[in-house]
Amino acid sequence: MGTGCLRGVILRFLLTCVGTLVVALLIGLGTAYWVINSGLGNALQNGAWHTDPDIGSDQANPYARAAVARAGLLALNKSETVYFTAMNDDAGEPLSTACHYRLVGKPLDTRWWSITAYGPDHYLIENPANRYSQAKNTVTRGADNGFVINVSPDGSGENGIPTGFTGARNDDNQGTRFSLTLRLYNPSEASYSSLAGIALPTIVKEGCS
Amino acid sequence: MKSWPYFLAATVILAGIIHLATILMWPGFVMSRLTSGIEELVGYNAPNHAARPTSEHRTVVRPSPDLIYTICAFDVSKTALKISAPVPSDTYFSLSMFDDKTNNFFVVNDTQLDKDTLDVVLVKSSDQVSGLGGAPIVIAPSDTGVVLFRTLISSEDRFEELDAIRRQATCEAM
Repeated sequence: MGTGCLRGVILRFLLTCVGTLVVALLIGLGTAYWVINSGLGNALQNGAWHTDPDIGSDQANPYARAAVARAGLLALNKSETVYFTAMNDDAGEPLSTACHYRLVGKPLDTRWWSITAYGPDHYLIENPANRYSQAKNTVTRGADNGFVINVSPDGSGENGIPTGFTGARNDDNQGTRFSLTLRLYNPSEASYSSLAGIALPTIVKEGCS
Repeated sequence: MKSWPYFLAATVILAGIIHLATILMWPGFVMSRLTSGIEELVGYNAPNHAARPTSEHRTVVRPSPDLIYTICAFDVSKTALKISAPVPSDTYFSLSMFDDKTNNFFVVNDTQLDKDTLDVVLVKSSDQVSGLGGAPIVIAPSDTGVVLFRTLISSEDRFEELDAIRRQATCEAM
């Protein structure tokens, strides 16, 4: 084998090694990014709501812990607080700030609860009313002690939560995805022992702008 | 002999290692960034009484707008930490602690306290527990982490009262 040929073999080997490293980095970091951004625990589903009973616990697996670090840092363990997150409505369609959703709930067996809307960056959504949530101590209730919450662009309707969508922004004329978090503070033992079975609010799309 | 199967295998194994390393290191990275941010504001072992969360809040993801938070970044590598706070009446209040991997290793709320003040001592290990004034001892699983006080704004009428109470919370090196 001549010197030129040997150089060619070595060069091809080095290039292949670099290519291997670059592809491995892209795949490794890309899949990790996808897992970390997969939401606040998907181990358990109840209607449109998801949670992971091990949130906040040292029993949480590394994937759940990584997702919580991204989307629910400083979350408490389930005996103190249970966090349910909905990224979709009851029909399985992604929640959009351009649409109006009607949440219908029965009394929840917990000391205090709240439902809060968050943007895709996991922060509160800017809106003219500076209203971001409805809670046990703020909602008006029906005769059966149940409640209705309206999540819509302008937050109109009974117990409204605005998503701030106006359609005026160039980058936002179709609406953006958002999510809802239901917090149950000091839930009853019956509730946190049976998270898949408790009656959580339904999320039904009424229409879109 | 063809070499591409070896490179394919190397790519898969390397990608798996990078994936797992990222997943395992991410919580520690996030907590480190959080504690560094608090350190820049008030230093370690001191309370930061955060403003009520709004859409401009960008410190911790998914804050509850119904709560007001006081947060301390702790470092018990050289000293124990005395944590005190008055307990507000007729509303939810809790003290929680998180290690450097985001685990919630301690939490207590107002219904579990029989006094109107909360006193806890956070230590690195059990060999530091003597002579700390009789306050309950909590052992931190890591040298650094976060102490978080949550107070529920039970009604808008009570906001100023509850805000004044939670601002009396302290984290002090002993």
